[in-house]
Amino acid sequence: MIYVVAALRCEAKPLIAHYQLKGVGKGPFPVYEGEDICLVVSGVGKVAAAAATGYMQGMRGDAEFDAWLNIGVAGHRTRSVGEGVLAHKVVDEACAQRWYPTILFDSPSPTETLITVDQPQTVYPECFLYDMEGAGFFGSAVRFSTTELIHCFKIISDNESSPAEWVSEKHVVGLIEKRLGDIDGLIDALTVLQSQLQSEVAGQDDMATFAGRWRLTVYQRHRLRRLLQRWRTLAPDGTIPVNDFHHIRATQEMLDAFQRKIEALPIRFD
Amino acid sequence: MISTIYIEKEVLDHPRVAAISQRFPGARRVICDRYGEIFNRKAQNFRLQKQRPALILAKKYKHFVLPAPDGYGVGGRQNFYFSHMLNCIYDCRYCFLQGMYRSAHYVVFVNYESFDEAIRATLEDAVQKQTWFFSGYDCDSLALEPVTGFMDHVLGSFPRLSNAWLELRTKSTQVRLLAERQPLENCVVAFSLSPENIAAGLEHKAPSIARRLAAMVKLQRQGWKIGLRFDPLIFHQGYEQSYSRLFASIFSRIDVSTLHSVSLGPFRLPEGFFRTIVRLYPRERLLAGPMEEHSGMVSYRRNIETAMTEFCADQLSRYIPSDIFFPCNYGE
Repeated sequence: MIYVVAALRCEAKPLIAHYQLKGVGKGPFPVYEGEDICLVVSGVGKVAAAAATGYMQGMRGDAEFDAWLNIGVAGHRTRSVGEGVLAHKVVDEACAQRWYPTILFDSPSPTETLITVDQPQTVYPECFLYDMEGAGFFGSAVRFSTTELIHCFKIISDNESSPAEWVSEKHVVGLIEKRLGDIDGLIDALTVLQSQLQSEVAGQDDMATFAGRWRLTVYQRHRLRRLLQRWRTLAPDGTIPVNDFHHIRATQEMLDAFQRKIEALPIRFD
Repeated sequence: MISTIYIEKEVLDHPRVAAISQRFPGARRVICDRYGEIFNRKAQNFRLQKQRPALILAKKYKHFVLPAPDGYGVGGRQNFYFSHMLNCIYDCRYCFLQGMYRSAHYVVFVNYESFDEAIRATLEDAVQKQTWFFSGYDCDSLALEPVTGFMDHVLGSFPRLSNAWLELRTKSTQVRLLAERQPLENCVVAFSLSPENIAAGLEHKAPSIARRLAAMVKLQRQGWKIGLRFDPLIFHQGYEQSYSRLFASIFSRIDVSTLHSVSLGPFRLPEGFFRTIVRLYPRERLLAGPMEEHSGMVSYRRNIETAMTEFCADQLSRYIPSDIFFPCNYGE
């Protein structure tokens, strides 16, 4: 699953339409869901962004390798309005805390440092991105996933010659719509990374085959999971040999027998 | 190759930072305070990062020269190692770095002169004892040499003392630097070697054994002292034939009379590192093998380890004299 956190409804609206997301349930944050994407509208500010990110994780995040994306508008001293920029460093201006999103793909856009401020910024002290959510989002998401799968993508809404006061909701919708191609590219790249990790996790079905016959302690479940991984690795075309152990009642003995069976398999590096 | 370069503020104006950065004109540059805020952070996936590691240019402040682990050495009275770089451009599935570091990014410490000073200080303390300095512990000694120029610097500054020895351990074929220099009397270029099938299956991104052998032969002909490192030994069906073929292939081309040393080491990993690597690569054949844990170290079952070590030692004894053979007995 890819979780998208947007601060404003006008930022979310084009994404909801583009990815055909449906509103789900009633809760503290509006949530919209599709097959692989789930979007939450957090409200303005880093506290709201952190809370919405935590809420999504608490309500839905159960996989080890979920991807998280903060999409919204930001200001910049010189970059053109409408330009899309991916953050390569996220700074919480108030406490100087920093995060470094790891970019493992060809970014669809230039990259830049993102400064998250507590108050709307009308001046741009440095040539960085300025927003009000990125640090709250990142600091929260990094507790649930890995930095390679967490990113902030910002579209420039204001700069020195086009101040923030001129930005309307309608304008924001248009800015996001024009960058949907970049956002598609970003989501595709994150999906590829996610799939590389997910493909190697041991199947729950294999575990269930054993759990139905033997009572397993937590430790024994861990051991069995690793034995199943080893079996699938060394005998990838073989079925799980659960019937070979049907005469064994004690779980520990069954696990020992399974281990012996695995260690009798040939290991080849051809 | 490198698409992101993180640079510590402290070394922003260092000439080596400028020189290294220039080699990657398309890379984004990100300024950081200390390399640890990127490298040591939790919530990183070593396996994903290995696809496209970033380069981190940093300054090292202490621990330039450290005592080598027990069993690591080729007969010296004192053994030390130093690492100008953390992580390796190769991706060997048995490597402890995958379990030790949270990040796969390459950290290069650009204050090379501090390593010189630490080596000299260590030698002063060592008095006249034969002292070895191993490079290539936390990284490959030569693989990134065209970028860092570190070995060029070290070879130019390493003390020409009879009790001071330097080992460059490598799988690299980047030996032009060495080929263009006069061989150093107190330097050994040690190549890590595995049977072809192991190299192809586990030593990802590393040069083939044939290319390593060619580089080794070239350097030996030019007068460089060469070492052979068969470490770690990897258990697999038909390992006897694999290792016999490897030894036969090497010793048919290497001049044993000028060979400096040969070492042999079993597969060993601290238990915590092993678990981390299993989490990263749950479907890796190497890690699915018959391992056991003893005193916090994971290794092949004792009977397998002993059989492999004895077999390889016996095979090697057919080619080399015993005085240049150094089996590694980690933790014993």
